[in-house]
Amino acid sequence: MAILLGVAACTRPAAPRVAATATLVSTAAVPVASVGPTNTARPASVADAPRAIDTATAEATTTSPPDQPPAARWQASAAARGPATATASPTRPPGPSTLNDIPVADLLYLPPPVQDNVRQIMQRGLAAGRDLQRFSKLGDSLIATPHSFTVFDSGGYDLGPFAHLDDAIGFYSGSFARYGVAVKPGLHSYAVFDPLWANKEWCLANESPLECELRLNNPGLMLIFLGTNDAGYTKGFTANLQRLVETLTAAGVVPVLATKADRFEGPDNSNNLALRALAADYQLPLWDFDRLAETLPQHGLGEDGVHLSTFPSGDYSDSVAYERGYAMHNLLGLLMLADLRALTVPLLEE
Amino acid sequence: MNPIRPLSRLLLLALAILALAACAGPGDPAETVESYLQAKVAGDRDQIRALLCAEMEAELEREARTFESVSGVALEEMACQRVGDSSTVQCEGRIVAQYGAEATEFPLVAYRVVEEDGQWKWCGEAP
Repeated sequence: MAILLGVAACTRPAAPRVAATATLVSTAAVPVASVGPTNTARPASVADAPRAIDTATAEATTTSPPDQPPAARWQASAAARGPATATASPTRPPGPSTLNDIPVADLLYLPPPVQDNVRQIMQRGLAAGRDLQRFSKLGDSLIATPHSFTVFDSGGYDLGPFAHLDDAIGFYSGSFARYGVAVKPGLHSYAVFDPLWANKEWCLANESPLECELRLNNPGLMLIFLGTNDAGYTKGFTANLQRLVETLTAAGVVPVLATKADRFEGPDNSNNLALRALAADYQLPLWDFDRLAETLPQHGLGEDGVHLSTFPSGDYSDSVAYERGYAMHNLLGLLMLADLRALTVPLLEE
Repeated sequence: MNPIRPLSRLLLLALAILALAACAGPGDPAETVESYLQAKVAGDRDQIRALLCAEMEAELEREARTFESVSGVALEEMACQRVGDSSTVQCEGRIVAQYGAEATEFPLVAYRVVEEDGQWKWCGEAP
């Protein structure tokens, strides 16, 4: 009898599947003939890597939102063009020292100890063959849009009083319009290390978005925009960012952190505080957009309350630019890149 | 009534259970992969832990939280099949996640499975 029962057990159909807890539309069997590798596509060169949609058009928003006081703007007066504050980078090129009445030095965290650390990372990067004139982006839908940075590669911009930043645009030419494979809507700090989130057209099996982007673009800098989709678990966010910046610095890539304009994690602004603390702990550059966003209507956010308010023209001689989220985000980023370029050039000349 | 008879029945039953355990095997690796992907989409930490191979245990948190910030995440047209007798399970279909007004797709690929403790375990993507 036992033998009969055993035989019955050996010939029974496969055990029932674990109950699905997610929507499963179809479980039809895949034909064996279709089974095969799917990750064979590889970029032929860095130039082939995903780029921004240069031709994308954005909705023009040229009027201020109602019931908002006029934003403080860049002060063109001679007084506003005074010397930078004591904490400013000694390498910062001449130009307006304030942005919407806030000293640029207070918006860009790059004190001398951070500069020293950046130089050391860059030297490691040079030794490892990193291209210091190239940056990568890592983040969510905030930057997965042609409103973010792409204008500096397409040429349709006027820097107005910030014309001196043109050198930085030329120095990092090609990186502004490139999305890369570490930019994806919804990206959060756990996803950075998850191969599921990697672009299967470009990335290898088990390669995370971070690893894939480093391999494809070989950048000297990584601009990091995270936190919006990490609401609710600041502890994990901090731990993941620590892992991220340690990975990058070990690889000779300078992590450039950025705060965000939203408050999705609540009024305590915990993720931005974590980003600032991380920059201080690891002596890394921080592009503190959250502070600048405080000067903007609706904190720089657009109608959806998630992404930034747009300013498609890229004309910084237009005062409206200084009220728009993306315009200010891009400009502050460019100021940071100009400072980083100033640290890079002497290393390349050595 | 023979007092030995109930004891014999018990013995037979025990033998049958042993035979069941010996013959059950690790099951179908494709089912393991499908169950794993369902658990990942649902953020079912216990199920993920149960199906994750030992060498990837350190990534449990990442695996469980990967869709935490999304509400409308779903598996679409998932179909997985073991490639011959190999440790590779090839899947078709996709995970679709809604972020605001945008739908983001994550195509399913080939996954590696390993047999541990008499069960198939999901062990990352297959090279």
